[in-house]
Amino acid sequence: MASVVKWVVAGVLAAGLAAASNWRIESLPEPSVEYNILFVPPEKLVTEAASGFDNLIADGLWLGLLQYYGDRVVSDDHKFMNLPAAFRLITRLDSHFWFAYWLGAFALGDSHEPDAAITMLRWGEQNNPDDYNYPYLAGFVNFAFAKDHQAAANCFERSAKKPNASRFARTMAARMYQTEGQDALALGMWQSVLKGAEAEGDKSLIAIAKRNVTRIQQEMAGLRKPAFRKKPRDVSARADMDKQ
Amino acid sequence: MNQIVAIARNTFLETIRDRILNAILVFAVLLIVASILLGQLSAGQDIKIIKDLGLASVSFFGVVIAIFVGTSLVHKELDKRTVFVVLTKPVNRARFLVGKLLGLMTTLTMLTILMGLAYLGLLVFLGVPVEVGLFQAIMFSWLELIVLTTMTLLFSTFSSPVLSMLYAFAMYFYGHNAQTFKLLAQKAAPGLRELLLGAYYVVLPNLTHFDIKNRVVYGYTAGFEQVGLAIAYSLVYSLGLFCVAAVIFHKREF
Amino acid sequence: MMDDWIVEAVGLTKVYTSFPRKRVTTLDNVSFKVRRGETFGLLGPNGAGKTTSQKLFLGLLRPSSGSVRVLGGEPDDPEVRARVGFLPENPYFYTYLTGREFLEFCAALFDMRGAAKHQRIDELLMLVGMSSAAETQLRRYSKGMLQRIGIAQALINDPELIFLDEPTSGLDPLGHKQIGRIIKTLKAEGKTLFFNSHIMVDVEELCDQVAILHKGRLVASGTVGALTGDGRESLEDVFVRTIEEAEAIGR
Repeated sequence: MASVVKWVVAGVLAAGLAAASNWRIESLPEPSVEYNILFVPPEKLVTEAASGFDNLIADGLWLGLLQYYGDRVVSDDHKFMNLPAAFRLITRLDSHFWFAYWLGAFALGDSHEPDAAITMLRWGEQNNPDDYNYPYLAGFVNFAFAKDHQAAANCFERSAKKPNASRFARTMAARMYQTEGQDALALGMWQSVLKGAEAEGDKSLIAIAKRNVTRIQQEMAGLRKPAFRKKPRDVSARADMDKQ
Repeated sequence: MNQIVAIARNTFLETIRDRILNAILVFAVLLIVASILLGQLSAGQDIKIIKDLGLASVSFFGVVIAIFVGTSLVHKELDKRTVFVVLTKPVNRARFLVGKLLGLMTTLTMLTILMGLAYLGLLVFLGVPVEVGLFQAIMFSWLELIVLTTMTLLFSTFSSPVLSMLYAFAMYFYGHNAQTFKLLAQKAAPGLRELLLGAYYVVLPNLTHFDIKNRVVYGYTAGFEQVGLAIAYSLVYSLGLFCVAAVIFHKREF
Repeated sequence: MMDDWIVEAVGLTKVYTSFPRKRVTTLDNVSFKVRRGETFGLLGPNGAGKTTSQKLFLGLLRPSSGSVRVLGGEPDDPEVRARVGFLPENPYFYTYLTGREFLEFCAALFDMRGAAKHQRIDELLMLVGMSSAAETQLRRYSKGMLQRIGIAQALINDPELIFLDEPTSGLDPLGHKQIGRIIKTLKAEGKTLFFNSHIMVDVEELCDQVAILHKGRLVASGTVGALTGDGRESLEDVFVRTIEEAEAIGR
């Protein structure tokens, strides 16, 4: 009997100590409970060890990334770590994860990594060759973040050639060529937009396309000062970003 | 036949008794809790993640149970000396193994069906369209379980449970990275290359053939030929493993 | 045909080889024969090779040299096994089955079915006095009950020859008595019984013929009467003396 009492006393004591230490540890000053580190495991290791659970691992990383990203966006400093690596790994594991590409495009573009976004989208396009969204989004990143209209035009044009492409792909491509001063290309694009709009019977788009066709024809004939022309910008450093 | 059925039934009862069915409960709870939490965490991607998680869990639970139970299948009979009772009766040793295999496969089939129903039921409840590919992915996982169960049975005819388990997990890991092995084999020196490629095609399992779960969530459907070949590969490869197991078990002394 | 030999061992030797080069001889050139209808006791201290011998007769082990014949055939032969029964030492059966389910399982292994099967099982439950516990799971059985259900499973096919490995060891007096009674019934039915034991009183009471093994060698054999000088010595004394002599020679 005495031995049982001994064990009960020891057990209660241990439980008390555990509770006390737990409480002490919790009350230690913590730097911050935010997700301020984004851990990205080595890509080679993860892809080799995934053993068929690739999608699930991508989902797990995605959830972690979302919490981190959300936390950092609302914080003041807007500094992000490891974003390119994280998006790259997620899209390697699950190459059809459209939403990850979509968020990645904006998150990377926003954090001054447009080239990483483009590279990621190129991988997406390779793995989803029939999906117009990937080059379209790449065109948008080139236009909005990299400010490279030439590359953007190429991307939009490529998107326009995919099945069921958004008609905005052509419109965007046409406008990009216009801003780059590539009148012939811009004219061709607008004419094709016009043809499509006429086939669909979309009156407002027909009007827009006609207006632009006329404008470019007049500009080319020297009857009118060029509009939409963008100031030339040196993008030679990213010469290969628009090529597939 | 009567003998095989008796042994299979007995094995089935034994494995069921091991509280394996709790795995299904854990599975269902996991899926439902996940589906509630994910809605809040995943920025609208919860359906995709639930689909992934469900298929991965069906496969994972099956594999773990096949390996953990499969490795102790024969060993338990030796350990508890029940094998003396069975093998001193006019029971062919290969039939004994067939019975054990069928018994465990019955358990795993039931498990797969129940988990599959829970998974598809949840999707229906959430209003997600259930494509053919999802059924196929579950069926392919089941085909993989046939291979893994036969393989663990083979290991358990000559090895201790712990070692069998290690072998089985190693083969599982290899089987899902068979392509990497093939690439390495192709780069090897002539002579060795043929040997390694031979091992790749003939001896080692290529479990990636049974893994379509990453694709079906994006609407992929396996064609008639692919399904047929997967079934054939599973059965023929398992038969090969079984023959080796039968020979080893036949030679064994107790 | 002079004699109807039902178990024959000729120069039986079993050597276990284990890694790296350890060789253990469990049975060394042992020869003996058992006649139909006899009750044969194989005696010896623990580790003498009694269980190994039985396993060789049952085809669970294969001899390193020498030969065994059971019912005129090979122990591996299903035909032979269909006429043999076996009770392992300290039987531990599938604990989640009830006594009846376990016997049904064993009956299925002999391809028995239908009414004949159920009748046989009821008979056996009666014989071993387990009818009342037939629906209880084996995990709730006492050691004596397990031993008795074990005898029932060994008899399911109405065998001509029954191997019993230490059927009475570790039982309480009541269980001991019950097993003794069952064995006597079987004897009266004319079955050939082959049992391993180190409990001399049982052997003396039940056996016609005995053989004594010591460290894998046969050190004595004969009828109980011949060995004890028709009761002048107890079998226990004979056994102890024989073993001690063998030890002395061995040294």
